[in-house]
Order: sequence, then structure tokens, then C-alpha cells
Amino acid sequence: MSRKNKINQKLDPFKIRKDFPIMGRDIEGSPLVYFDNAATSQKPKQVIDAITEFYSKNNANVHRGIHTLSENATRQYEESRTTLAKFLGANSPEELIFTNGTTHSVNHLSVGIKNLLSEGDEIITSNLEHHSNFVPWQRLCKERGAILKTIDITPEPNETSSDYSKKILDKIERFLSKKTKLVTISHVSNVTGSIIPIKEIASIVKGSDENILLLVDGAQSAPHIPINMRSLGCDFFVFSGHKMLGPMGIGGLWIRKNLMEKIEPGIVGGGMIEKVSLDKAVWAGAPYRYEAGTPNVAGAIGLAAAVKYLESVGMREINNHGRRLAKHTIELLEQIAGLKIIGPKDDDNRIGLISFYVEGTHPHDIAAILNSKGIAVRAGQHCAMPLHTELDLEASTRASFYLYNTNEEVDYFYRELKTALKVLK
Amino acid sequence: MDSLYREEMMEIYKDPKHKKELPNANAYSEEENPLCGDTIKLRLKIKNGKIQSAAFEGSSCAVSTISTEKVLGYVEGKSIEEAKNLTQEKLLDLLDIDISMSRVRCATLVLTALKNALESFEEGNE
Ligand SMILES: Cc1ncc(COP(=O)(O)O)c(C=O)c1O
Repeated sequence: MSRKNKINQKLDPFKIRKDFPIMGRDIEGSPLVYFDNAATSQKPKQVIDAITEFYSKNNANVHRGIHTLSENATRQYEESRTTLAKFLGANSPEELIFTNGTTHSVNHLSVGIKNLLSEGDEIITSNLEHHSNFVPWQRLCKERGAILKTIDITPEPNETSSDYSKKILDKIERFLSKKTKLVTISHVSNVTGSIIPIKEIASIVKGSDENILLLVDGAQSAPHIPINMRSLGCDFFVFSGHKMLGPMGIGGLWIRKNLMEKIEPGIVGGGMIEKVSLDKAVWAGAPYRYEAGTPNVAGAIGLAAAVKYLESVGMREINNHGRRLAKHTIELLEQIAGLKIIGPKDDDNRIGLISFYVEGTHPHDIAAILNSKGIAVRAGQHCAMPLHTELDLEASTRASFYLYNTNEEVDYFYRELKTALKVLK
Repeated sequence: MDSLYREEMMEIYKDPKHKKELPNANAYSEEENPLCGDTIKLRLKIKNGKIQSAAFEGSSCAVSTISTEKVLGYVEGKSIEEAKNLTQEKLLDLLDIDISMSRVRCATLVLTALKNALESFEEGNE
């Protein structure tokens, strides 16, 4: 990879766009304006090429054959793990398990910690979670006779990000009890774009009882902000490769090293055992005990290429770019009468993601009209039904940005949004 | 622009004639599309096996509203049997707008509501 170390340079989205083949296409006759990055990001040619190269030159199964191709595939797969582990600031590559993505990782864990949960125990989560970090816990609690306590962290209108953070910490503190076994929460909300104060949550949780486990859903944070497992303070971190320039079908589950033997594999089968007899099986060591079945080798290689790309631009710079775009967007949207933005509006603790609704219009119609102008936004509940219910909203419209989006695109989106509202209102 | 958002369609959307109360209704159904949160409360007044009048309440997107409006206009004066025979295909014909695959569910919410209202009416009369 040749685009290394441009630390002092401000991110140039126009230059970055040249690496993304899809940016050249049009939608219904207009150039694509892709503002649905929270759902999935686009892929640079570096990632596409890495996948093509694997399938063209090195394809074989890993940890199996003695032949050259299998050894190449195994080496590349393990190198990808090391790249990812470094990106996350993990202590060692063994802590990083490849999965299909966030949903898979959470499910994996919800099976893996089953035995640590007894009747009457408590899991704390929040009402702004994506369904993938909510439904598995709801099911587990039902199965074990445990209690899922959901803290209400619905943002108030005009709440600042620092007041919002304080509210979250306060609520978690009040919900912790002697029965709490797990606290599970998003690092960044996929509805508001707010960064949740995980370090502070970790110190409250661990301060209350260091055996309480802390899971962080990093699906929206890993793509946008610098992440470091050595300082974040959680025990588990889950994320999806496809939201951070990587391919679909690959993601990760980070488990703190000292917990690895305590957590059962959520999926069992081939490739994850030490030995099997007719009446029992002994699990292999980490991380393999958590990776049953043929892994997504091409996916891991593609994700490693994605992470190298992100690092070459710089995560801090990517976050700053997102915040700049968000700031610009919010300033424009606030000029529209009847439009309400969900969540804190300041540009401090956030990524480039904004959800909004407009009195008297349906997000589906807004999204359909914008689509006819080439603009891709998300309309719906963004898999966060409890939060939308709390806000008394049927749905919202979400614009989410990434490193290739520009201020000019935001201006165009704003103009077309105003036109759409004229049609609908 | 998508032909859905042309002016005549927007007129239907902004002022749907069937969006009203129907105090003497004798068939009712409430449906929700969990994907987008659209809800529809459908009321029918049925007499001698015929749908005399139809009305709806609820909040929904343009596709859903226009589709509901057209379906209710269509079934008024028709027999229960005729109304039950309204298929998804026929409804999309009736609608006569370009809709994307992802919005077919918005258009067919009213069909589910209609079928359920008719069924519960028939059960009540057995
Ligand atoms: C906060 C959050 N958690 C979890 C997920 C689920 O990710 P995936 O569908 O890749 O498993 C998403 C993605 O939509 C998300 O935004």
C-alpha cells in the first residue's frame, strides 16, 4: 500500500474518491451521493484488489493442507488477524476472533456466556441499541430466568453531548446491582451518531464490581474513531468489516485475554478442537476455539486491506472529517421549519451521522425523492425500534457520511431535501 | 422524478377522501408495517353482502396512502367476494405508479387490512 503517513495533511475527500470505483456511477441519471454509510460503506480498489488477488492466486483452506496454497492462505489469514489486532490496540492477535460481523459476534457471546448467568441475574443494556445487541440478550435472559434491565437514554431535545454523557453515566450507575453480570452498550449510536462515554462507563462498572462484564458494540465506532482495547476498559468489543471499507461477511469479536478460557465457544464443529472422541471434545486454544468451520479468508484479507487504508488516512482525521460534515449539515438542516434532529447537535462527541424527521412527512417518501436525484439515505427505524417507540416516531431519515463525502454533496442534499419537502408538504 | 410524486398523486396523498371516521362501520382491522411503522385502521360498512362505504385512519407514506385511497375507492359498492378477490397484482395495476420493490409492502398493507376486516366480519356473522 502506497498511501502511507500523511499525518499532517488534511483529509482530501476528492483524492480519496478516486480510490472508490463506485463513485463513478450514476443513479437515475444523477451522480451517486452515498449517504448511507452507517448501513454499509463503499469499498476502495485496494480492498477489491486484495480479494481478487486471493481468489486468483492463493485460494485454499487454512490450517489444513501441507501444500503451498494452504500455507499461503493460512499465513495471509493470520497476518490479517495481526493487522486487525494492531488496529484495535489489542494486547495480542489471539484476542481477535474473526466472525461474520457484529450480529454474529453478539450471538456468539450470548451463547458463550450462558453458563455465567443464573436465575435472577441481571444484564444491563440501553434502549438505543441496535436490535443485534438487544434481541440476543432478551432471548438469553428469557432462557436463563435472568432480567434484562434497559436504561432509557433517549436524548432530550436540545441536550448537549456532555449533558447526554452525564445522563448515561448516571443511569448506569443507578442500575448496577449485586446481581449485574453484564453491561452491554453501543460505542456510537446508529441513530444519533453520539459517542457513548465507554471509558467512564467502564470505570463505573468495574468500580462497582470488577467481575461484571462489559460488552461494547463497536459497529459504528470502529469505522470512525480511534479505538484502543488497552485503554477502553471493556471486556468484549464487536464490529463489522463492511461498515469500515471491508467486505461483507467478515467482522470481529475481541475478547480480553484473561477471559478467553471462561467463555464457551458459541459455535462448535470442525477447526476448533484439540481432540474428539465419541463421547467428548476438547476445544483448541484461542482464537481457534471460537472459529468453527471454514473461515472467511478472503474477507479477512479484504478487511486487513481496508484497515490499512483507514490507517493511511488516519482515524482521527476521518472522525474530524465526519464531524465537519455533520456540523455543516446540522447548520443547514436547522434552517428548515418543522425539521427535528434526533440527539445532541454539537460537534463534540459524534461521528458524521444525523437522523431527522419532518413533521407531516414520511421518511420513505423523502428517501424515495432523494433517490431520484442520486442521493442514498436510509429511511426507517434503523433496527432501533425501542428508541423510535420512545421518541414516538414511526421512522426517521438518516444521512451518514464517510471519508469520501464532501461539503458539496451536503449542499446538494440540502437543496434536494428542500425540493422534496415542497412536493410532500 | 418518480411518477409517484407527480402532482395528481400528491393531491390524493395530501387530501385522501377516504381518510375519515365511519361511525356506523361494522367491519374493522388494524395493521402495521413493522419495517417503517406505517399503521392503518380500516373501517367498512357492509350491508347485504356489499361494501357500502370504506374509510381509514392512521399515518403512512405516500405509497401506502395512495394505495389505500385507490383500494377503498375500488371496493366501495363491490360485494365481499369481489373485494376478497383483489390480488396484489390487480392492486399494482390499479395503482399505476412506478414503485420500487422495497415499497411493495407499503402498497399492500391495505390489502392485508381489507382481507382481515372482511374475514373478521364474516366470522362475526357465522
Ligand atoms: C450499532 C450497530 N450495531 C450492530 C449492527 C449490526 O451489524 P451487522 O448487520 O453488520 O451484523 C449495526 C449495523 O447496522 C449497528 O449500527
